[in-house]
This record gives sequence, C-alpha cells and structure tokens, in this order.
Amino acid sequence: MKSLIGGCLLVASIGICTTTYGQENELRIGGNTQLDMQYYYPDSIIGADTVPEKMLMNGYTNINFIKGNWSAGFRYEAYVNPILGFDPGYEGTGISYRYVTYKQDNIEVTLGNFYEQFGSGMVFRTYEARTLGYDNAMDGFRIRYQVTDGIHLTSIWGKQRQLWALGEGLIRGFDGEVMINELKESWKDKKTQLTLGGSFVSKYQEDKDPLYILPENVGNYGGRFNLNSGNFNLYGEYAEKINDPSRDNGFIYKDGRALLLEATYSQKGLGVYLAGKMVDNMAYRSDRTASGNNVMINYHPALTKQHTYALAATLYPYATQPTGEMAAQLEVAYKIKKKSKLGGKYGTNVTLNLSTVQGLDTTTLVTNSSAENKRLGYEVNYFNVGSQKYFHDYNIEISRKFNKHLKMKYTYLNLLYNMNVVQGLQTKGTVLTHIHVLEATHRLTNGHAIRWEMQHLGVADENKYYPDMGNWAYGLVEYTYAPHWFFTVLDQYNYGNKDEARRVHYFTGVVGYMKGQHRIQAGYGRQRAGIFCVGGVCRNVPAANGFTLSITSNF
Amino acid sequence: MSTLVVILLAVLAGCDHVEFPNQGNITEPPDTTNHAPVQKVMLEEFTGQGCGNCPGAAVTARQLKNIYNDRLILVSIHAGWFANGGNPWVPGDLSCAEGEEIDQSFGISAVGNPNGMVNRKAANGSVVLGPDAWGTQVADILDHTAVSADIEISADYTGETGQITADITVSYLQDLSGDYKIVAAILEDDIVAPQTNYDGNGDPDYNSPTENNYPHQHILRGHMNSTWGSDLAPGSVASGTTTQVSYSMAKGETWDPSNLSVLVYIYEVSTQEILQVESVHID
Repeated sequence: MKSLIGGCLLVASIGICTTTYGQENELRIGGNTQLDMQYYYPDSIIGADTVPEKMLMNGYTNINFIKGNWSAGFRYEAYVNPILGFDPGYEGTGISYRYVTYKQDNIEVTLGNFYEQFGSGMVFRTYEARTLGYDNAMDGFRIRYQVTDGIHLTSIWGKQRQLWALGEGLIRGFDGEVMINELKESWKDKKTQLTLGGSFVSKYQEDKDPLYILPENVGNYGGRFNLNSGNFNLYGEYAEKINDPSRDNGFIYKDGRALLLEATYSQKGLGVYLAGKMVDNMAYRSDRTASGNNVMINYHPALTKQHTYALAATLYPYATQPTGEMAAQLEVAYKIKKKSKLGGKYGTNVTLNLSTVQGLDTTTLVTNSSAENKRLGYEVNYFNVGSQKYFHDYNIEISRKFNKHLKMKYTYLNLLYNMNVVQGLQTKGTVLTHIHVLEATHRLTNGHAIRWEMQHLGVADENKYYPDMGNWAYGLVEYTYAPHWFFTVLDQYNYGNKDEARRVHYFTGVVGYMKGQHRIQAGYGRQRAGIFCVGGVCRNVPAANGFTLSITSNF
Repeated sequence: MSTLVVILLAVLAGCDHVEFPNQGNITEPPDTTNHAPVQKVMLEEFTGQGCGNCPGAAVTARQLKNIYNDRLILVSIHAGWFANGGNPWVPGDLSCAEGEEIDQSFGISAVGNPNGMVNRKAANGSVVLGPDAWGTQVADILDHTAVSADIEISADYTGETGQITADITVSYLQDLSGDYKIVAAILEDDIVAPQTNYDGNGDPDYNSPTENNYPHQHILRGHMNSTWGSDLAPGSVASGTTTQVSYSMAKGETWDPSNLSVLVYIYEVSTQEILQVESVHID
C-alpha cells in the first residue's frame, strides 16, 4: 500500500492522480490534457500586431501508468505555433517529459524527467508552471532513501530542460532532512516538533572564455529548520553560493547568499504570518549565459501577495529579483465573531496584508575600470536596507456574508511598483496606485448565481510618481448555472490614459461548459497587455484581439 | 546507501573558487605565417558615440583581438538611439544606412547597447550577445568549425575616380548545401571623434564622461553590394569550386583613404550565420 501511495504522490506532482486502493498490481492509467487556441485580429490601437498564422495553439497531454511498485509516464506537448507571450523557442511538437519510477521498501529511484524541491527552493527547485511557459524539469536520475523513521535523503543528477533541448550545464545535488521527533518514540507526541534539513547542489559548465577564468563547478548550499509548537510555527533557511559570474549578475565573481524567516501563528478566528528575506546575488542557472525563465536551478519564494483581481494582478505584479532584494511581509487574518454588532449574522473576515521590497545597501568595489576590478562586484551592508524601493503592497480585504443569497467582499490596495527595476526598463519610473475592488455573489435558486466585480485603479500624485497608463476602470458580471454553464462579460477601460487615442475599452465575453472532468471555454474580445506572475516568476502577456478557445480534460 | 555516499562525496567536491578571474597574457599564435585557409570569425559590436558603456565593450573586443589576431575580425556598427539623435551631449554621427538596417533586423539597439553578434550565431537562443559572452562564443566557433570556404580580396582605391574596387575570389573547401550570399563592405579606422565614456564601464585610458578625441576603429562606413549582399551559391556547391566577383563604390567624402579596409563575408540565408569572413586594408 505504501508504494501505491508514493506512486500516487509522484504522479500527482505532474498533474493527475487516480487513486483506487487495494488493487496494487492492477495496471492503472490516468492523464489529463489541455488545448489553448487563440485567433488574432490586428488591433493597432491596443498594440496587437498582425499574426501571420492568424491562429496559434498550445497543447499538452500527460499519460501516467501505475502498476505495483512501478510508475511511468510521459507528456506530449505541441506549440503550433506558440501563443503570443510564450517563448517562441517552444515552437514544435514532441515528448517533453518521460520517466520511470520504482519504489520498494524505503528506496525510490526515478529515471528520466522529474521535478524536485529542497526546502523552500533557494538551493534547488525544478517545477513546471504551464501558464508561465516555465519548465526546468530535470532529466537524469533521482534516488530517495529513507534511512529510518524521520531521516530522508534525496540525491539528484542530470541536466535541465531548456525549451526543446537540455541546458548545457550538469547538476548534481543532495538533500537530507531529519524530523527530530521521529527519532525517538517518546518524542513523537511532543507538542514541539523540530525538523532540520540541509542541501548541497553543484552545477558544472565548461569554461570556454579566453579572457576570464570562469568557475566550472559552482556550489550552492544551505540549511533550514522548522519549529512547530502548538499554534506557532517558525521556518528559517539560509543559503550560500560561491562565485558564479553569469549574465544575470553582469559576470561578477562575488559570492551570493540568501536568508528567509517565516513565522506563523494561528488560532480560531485569527491567523498571523510574518516573514522577512534577504537575497544577494543568488540567481543560479545551469547555463551562465541563459536569460528569461530558462534553466533556473533555484527559486526564491515571493513575499508579496498574489492577487486575482485583474487590475491588481496583471498591471503591476512584483517579480522576485534574485540578483538582490530585501523583503518583508505581514498578514493578519481575523474573523469578527458572528452574531456580534460588527460581525453580523455570519461573521466578517478581515485580512490585512502588508508587503514591502527594497534594494540592498551596496557599495561598488570598482575603484577604476580595470577589467579585473569590474568583476569583483560590490559589498553589501546586510544590517541596512538599500535606499531604492522596488515595491510595496498594503492591502486590506473585508468579506461578509449577509444572508443565504448575498456575499460581498471589498478590497483596497495601495501599490507601489518600480518599473525600472522590476521590468528592467530604464526610461519609466515608479508608479503608485490606489486600487478599489468590490465583489458580490448573489445566489439565486436552483443553481443560478450572479457574481459581479467593480474595480478601479487610480494613479497617485503625478508630480512625484510615474503615471504610466493612468487610471483604469473595470466591470465584470458572471452568471453561473450550476453545474454546467457559466457566462462572463467584462470591460476594462483605460479612461485616464494621457494619450487620448489610447483611452480604449477592452470588452471580453466568455462562455464555459463543464461536465465531469471536462471543461470547454470560449471567449471573444480584447486582451490587455500586461504581466502574468505565479509565485514571483512572471511572463509578459501581449495585447491581443480575437477568439480564444480552451479545452481541459482529465481521464 | 553506498551510492548515496558516493554521490554526496562527488557533490561536495563540486566547487571552484576563482581568486583572479583574468586569464593573464594567454595568446594563441597568429595565423599570418601559415597560408593555409583558416576559419575566421566576425564580431560585430553595436555602439554609438552617445553610448557611455560601449568603450568598455570595445576594450573587451580588443583583448579578444590580441588573443586571436587575424582569426578575429572586428566591425563597429554605430546604430540606433545612441548613434543618432538620442545623444545630444555628443556631436557627430558615424552610422550608415546598412548598419541601421542590420541593427533593426536583429533588434540589437532595441535591447540596449553595448551588445554584439559573433558570426550572427545564436548562443542560448539569442544572436544578440553582451560583451561578457563574446569570448566564449568566439572560442566555441573556432573550436568547433571546420573551415569550409576561403576568401581572397584584392582591394584598390583610385584617387582620380574616387572609386574603391574589390576583386574577390571565394574557394569552397567542403561540399555545401544551402543558399549563400556574399557581402562586401568598407571599414574605416582611426576616426578621431567625440565619445561618451562612463567611469566604471568605459575605457579607463580616455577621459570621462566624454572623450573629445576618441579613436574610433573599424567603423562600418557602407556596403558595396547592398545590406544583405548578392547571391553567391544558391542551392549547393561542390568542394573545389571557385567563384570570382568584383564590386566597386565611390569613397565617401569624409573617409580617409589611407584608413580604409574592405570587409567581405559569406552567410547562409536561412540561418543568417556567417560561413567565412575576411578583410584587407586598401592599398
């Protein structure tokens, strides 16, 4: 049974898990598929260019097999041609992912592709985020070994996926985790639980540079702990990387380091999360010349809230800066008691979220322009915060159920975004916005429901901040007829654009049908240019006008 | 378990600390004494008189030239915002129409300068390479490319007519398939003109932030046979075949004839990669 569950977890990591217990030796096959198609009309006013193919399509299918101790699977992908906003290098079709895993007793071996994460990912994390076009899957082998209860070892070896090829660098890594309380029977039920972990990853890439000695083997290592006691949890991780001159850091030879601390407290009706981190020169890829979202070996958790409302989520979302940043986040979620004066009949949820990101306090080491000095990089005063502000997001969310038929939520964001740093632009500036969102869901009878959103984004103080595209208004109405149908119409209006010709409406209509494990969705309208982020990793979404069709299916 | 221990030990060994990044005075012997055809590489630096970080990139290019001598041919292309209009703090314009067209076609100054191309060959999916990636790309191409064509140029300038002529012989040393074009262009050295030169990423031998007497080297002045050149070998060509072509163009008014060279390169049309390159000083 153990192996079955293990196989299920593994397979779940790439998208599907069909679990029927008690039939260990029966062959089970599962999978999922998704097709996204877009038809493009040129629309010069919003910056949507002519697409020669007119229609573009991204599609993939995962198929997984489990039998006894064995599991195997593959993913077929087709980008014919890639939808705008995805790396054009994905153009083509083929099997991008395949693996075989065998698990017996306390050892598990995977050959082929796999995703893995050590700790929070600061030393090593390979994963897939399909909506970002992000896939840095390993191709090689992995062994997981459970020495005894509470001691887990993992080792990995291989290369990373880079579009349709493998990145140039080789990755070797090792991770160990000890759950202290598991080591002794009498500790197992203690209120306080402690877990310790450590990782080491080394990448190898040949040095062909005739001018500089580039380190061919670059190590990145770190330690972590998790302390849990009752309602309280504390997580900490520290990582260090040796000299790693790369395109990301301007080929400097400075070491890198990162520190993350997260504390959470929760009790009925109250949750508190406080976190801080420092990242200094920690971009780490298996190819020192790579850029974009390619062949990243590690990952730095975002300490900024990921929003879902369009104006808050896709105009000025923060992208983590692995080359250097200091960030802090506080979130307090409180439920005002039900049947109280303030809380109303069902209670009221209030969530306050504050996050801020600044640059590092650095002193450049270049005393003259000799090539060698230029490569030394900079010094950091870790006990101070840099003067340059990258981002802040101070938001509050209040949601309340009024009766069986009506739920409402109000959100306010005060959001500051340094375009020059986050988007790598040199000629823009810092935008400060005030965003208000009001959302309501009306449950009608017999599965009918109407949800609407009103959003407004206003840019602040144009004398002090960069106005960018100015003010936006947004409205959405969604009608759901459960369990099969939904219809959405929305409009975004850039009424505050300084360029009057660009004060345009972005109308979109979407209809969706769901049945069982299948879903089909069709839309028509304008797509506003923006940025789409998941966990602080982002991609550009270009402006577009036309039809969209999306089909997803699990089987 | 023993496998894990072996892996752990191997991983722990995986760190190279580099104390002194510079390679020192490593040079490869020049190929000028050897008349056998050799593969050469073209490094196109995209720059502008208003680009304060570009002189630092030119230093990198010069260091590579010191290593590879005649096997590396440098071309400076002034184009884009830094070269014209966008640089009010530096007078002058060393751009030419063909350089602007190449810059736009490959989207180089749109990304920002200094940037360049080495044989217009992509590394990591991009032909646009920053100065720190030039050396690796030059070394990689020279290590892995077998010479497939040889270019001989006889270049001449006639003062009476003001015409520059180039007689070019291309010899194929391998059977080739693909469509090839040939481009002949004029380069000029030692143009003394102002240059923005930032402290830090500029050239420390010159004044900062502006050097009024910066010697601009191997500047692209114009093409003799259009930006994208002339058909040379459409389809396929057999080893041992020779093609001869001649081009001429009028010398520009401001060009100093004693500082001019003819640059010739062959590229494959679909990949746009340079097959071979050569340059000679005009007699």
